Amino acid sequence: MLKIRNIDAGYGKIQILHRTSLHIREGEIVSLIGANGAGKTTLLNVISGLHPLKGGSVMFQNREIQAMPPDRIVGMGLIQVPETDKIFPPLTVLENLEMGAYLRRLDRRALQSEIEKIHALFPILRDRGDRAAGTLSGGERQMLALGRALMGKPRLLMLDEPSLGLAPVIVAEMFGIIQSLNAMGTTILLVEQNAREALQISNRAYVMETGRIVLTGAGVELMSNEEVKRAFLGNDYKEKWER
Amino acid sequence: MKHLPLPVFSLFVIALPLILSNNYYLMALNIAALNVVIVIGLNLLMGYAGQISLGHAAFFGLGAYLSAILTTTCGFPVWPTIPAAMAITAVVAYLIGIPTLKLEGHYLVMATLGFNVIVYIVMIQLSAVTGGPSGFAGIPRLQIGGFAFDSDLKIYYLFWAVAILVLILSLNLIHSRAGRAMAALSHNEIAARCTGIDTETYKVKIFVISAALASLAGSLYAHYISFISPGSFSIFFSLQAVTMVLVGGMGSVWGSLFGAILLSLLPEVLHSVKEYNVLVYGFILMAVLMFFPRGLFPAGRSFCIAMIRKKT
Repeated sequence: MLKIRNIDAGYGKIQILHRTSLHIREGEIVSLIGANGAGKTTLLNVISGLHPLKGGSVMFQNREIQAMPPDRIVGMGLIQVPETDKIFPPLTVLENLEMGAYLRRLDRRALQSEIEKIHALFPILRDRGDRAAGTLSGGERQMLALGRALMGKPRLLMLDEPSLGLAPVIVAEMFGIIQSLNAMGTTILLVEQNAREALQISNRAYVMETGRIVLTGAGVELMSNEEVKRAFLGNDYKEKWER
Repeated sequence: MKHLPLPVFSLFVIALPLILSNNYYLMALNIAALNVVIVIGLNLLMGYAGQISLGHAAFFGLGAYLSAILTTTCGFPVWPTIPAAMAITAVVAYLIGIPTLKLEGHYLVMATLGFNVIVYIVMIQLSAVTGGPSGFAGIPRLQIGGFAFDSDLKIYYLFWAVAILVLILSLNLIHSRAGRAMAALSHNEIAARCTGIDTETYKVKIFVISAALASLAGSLYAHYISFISPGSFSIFFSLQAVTMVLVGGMGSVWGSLFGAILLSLLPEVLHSVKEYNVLVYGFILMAVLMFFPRGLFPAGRSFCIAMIRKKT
């Protein structure tokens, strides 16, 4: 579904991504894990056309998209939920959701039925409907951002740190929602620092370090990889070390 | 309730000349109407595209000089010239907007600032065409068929009809699909792009519309006063327009109306304090920006809403 080959990208003279390649098949949950500054967000921004690339290619549904503007990429069903700045604070929750269907030009009735679907998924968004999005809590904002992305009918949904700053209970709920979205047919690329949870729900995963993919494999497989344990999972390694 | 302000305001505009005895006030109100057109346009850019233009005096001037030159020197009819001047100004704005609005950050401020200075110099130096520093005189007055807009009162109704039309169109624009996209873009550009809004194109479009509105005001100004000189189109007027937007309230169309009227009439009211009027004007501006950073209009509205809630 998505195939990225040898991407180079950076800011000015500083190169962030070095010949990065990855692919995602239809129906998968693929996670991309790595420390702060590894280049995960830059990679997502390159894929969705927000950041220019210097070399390499991005294929989505067998079409080259690396030269397309972001709105056309969104129109093809490749939708990103950005890490920060994900909502429109002064607009109401309902208006935020409506913005998600911006490119689809739905009539009132179709829009209403799409909103109903999102409300069924996130009941809290129904209750908060006419409140300004800026008044929501972190977890509610994350749900709103996710709901808004779903309003665009994504084929491939790219989530940037959906668990960032959320209470542990809500993190679990979030990952549950991601799994059920996937079960309903949305392919998912998940960028996470919360490696344990991400790997648990992923079919496959890529590990990124300073702009390079250093490791890839099935999600569960990577959880038992010594290198991954040392770098991201922490606890087990500590136990071994202290023994 | 939602649609009430517009008819109320229109009635007020229609009735106002009946209680005004002095023609001088009418003239001030006519200029205020033109400022309303410019400031509403500029506010679309500032409040909805998140960009600032310090060149609106130049677009205002382009409209005025194009109308003056095309009608007086070239002998074109007045009415078709006004949209023609708007179109030429729009093309100029497009050429400035395309390279600068693609860049992130406030490059438009620099570009428009430079443009305003250039236009001002051209107005002064190209004296064979523009009349140079001594100005351009003898611009034909407006008329339709045999009806001439030859008094301040007739002009008053014409200009305020234009201003209210621009107000209505802007209100419609911001409540349309494009308007919601613009609002989204101004509040959060990254999220806007992630929802598939073509932010670059929107910014350029708003800038072009905004420049064309300034040009419209310029043409009307030229045909009203019938004499124009470069002094009216210097960078100071651009700053004044930006101030009107800020005082009225960024992102509020009604605020622009309010800000433009207030700051256009304030100097007239301050005539009584004579030589101190610039000082008082400055203090009022400072006070507004310090105590009502969102603008007078949004602050006033929140206050009224709070009072109503308190009572019930």
